[in-house]
Amino acid sequence: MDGETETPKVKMAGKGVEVFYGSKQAINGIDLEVYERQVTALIGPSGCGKSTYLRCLNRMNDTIDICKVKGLLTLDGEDIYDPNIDVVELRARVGMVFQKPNPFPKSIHENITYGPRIHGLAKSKADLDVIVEKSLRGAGLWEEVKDRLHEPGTGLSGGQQQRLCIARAIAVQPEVILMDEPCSALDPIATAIVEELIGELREQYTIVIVTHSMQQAARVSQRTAMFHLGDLVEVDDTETIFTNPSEKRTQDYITGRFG
Amino acid sequence: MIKQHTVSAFEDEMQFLTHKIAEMGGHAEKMIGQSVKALTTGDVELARAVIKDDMRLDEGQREIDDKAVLLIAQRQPMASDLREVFANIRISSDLERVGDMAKGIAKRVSSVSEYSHGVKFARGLEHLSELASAQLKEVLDCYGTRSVDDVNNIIERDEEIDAMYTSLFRELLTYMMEDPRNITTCTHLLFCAKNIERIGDHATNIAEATYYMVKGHKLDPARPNEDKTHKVSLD
Repeated sequence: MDGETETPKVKMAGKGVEVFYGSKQAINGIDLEVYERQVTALIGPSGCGKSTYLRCLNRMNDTIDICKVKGLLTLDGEDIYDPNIDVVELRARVGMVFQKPNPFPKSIHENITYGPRIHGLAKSKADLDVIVEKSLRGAGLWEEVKDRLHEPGTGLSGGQQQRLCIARAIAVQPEVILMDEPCSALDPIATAIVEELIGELREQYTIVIVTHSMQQAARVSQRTAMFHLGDLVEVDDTETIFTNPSEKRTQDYITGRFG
Repeated sequence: MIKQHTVSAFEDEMQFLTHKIAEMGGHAEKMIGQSVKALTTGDVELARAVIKDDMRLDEGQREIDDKAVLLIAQRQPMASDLREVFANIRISSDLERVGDMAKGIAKRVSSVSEYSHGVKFARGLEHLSELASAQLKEVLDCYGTRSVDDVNNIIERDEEIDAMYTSLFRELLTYMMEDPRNITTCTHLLFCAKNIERIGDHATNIAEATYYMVKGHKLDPARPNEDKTHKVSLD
């Protein structure tokens, strides 16, 4: 326990973050710090702004024309919305795993090598093979697919596809991995495997996960942030949030009294 | 006022546990009163009824355990709900033990009443049991109303029970020294007194569980909680 309560380094921070979709405000000025090598869970009812906030962290919202982000968001103290920043590089440093597994319609091998190639992380084919093995091992998938690396990634089971997506995300050596409900399309066994994996990934990466499963947030994260109607209701140690939250809105939400 | 669960069956299950605890609590209080009454009046029939009645507390605890386990499996309660389920499990186990204590007293009634001075010696236990009963009742009121502001004061009163138990212990020792024929009865009564003192401790446990359930953190520890009978010697 004590190891976890030492003041960890702030990896990403938001200050007065506001997000607008056209004239509609989705996030009303949020301050939220994400600590290095911890799993931070974002919870809250649908439409509360948690996924929107998550997508701010690697400027995924840039792809939505009417979406406007205000306030300050930093990675290692650096403003990620600075006009001089290279968004492609940012997204290599801050990777993302989505709700539905979305492997490229290519081989398992190519799914992994695509990122390292465009980011120039490998000089030779041998380098790429090393990355493929390392990434697949990191995602706990190597043993299952090592004999069929050139078969299509879409031929894997749902849980394997999601781990392939995680392998693809870590292939470019990110610092932060964002996960948007990574287990909501998976069965309980595949979910357990991914949760186990999140625990292992945490040793190397900073993870921010959006989840609708309270139990999952309680199991995998060290800190939990509760969102509601575009506000950050509270953020605290996960243990505290799920046994004795300070805010009534959190209490009502996690005990199933919302509405 | 706390909102209701979206899933009404969840609400009903939580309510069931609360009502069951209240029912067990009422039953435990009744058993204490009756067992001590049987002891101080030599009423063997009443004692027999108390012994039989203990089954209901055993069943109550089993029922709460089963329902709580099922509820945890089906609903995965969180925060205040989780604390409440946890507290209910603990409290029902304390109440079941209170029933055992009362039963233990009732079982000794026939031996004590056989001896001519038995009922007279037993009188001293009346006040002790009144204190313990009052303690249990107040603690269960805290549980029922979910108000724990006064819990510390109530728990502190357990010291009165401990002090009275220690003085009873001395009194019974005196009777034994006066006349060795008193020894059998007084030994029985010592066990009865100890049982009542234990009821006070269970009330304290219930108070602590209730406090945690309501507040979400534990009551401050480090409270001197013991009787002094281990220090009583013959001189």
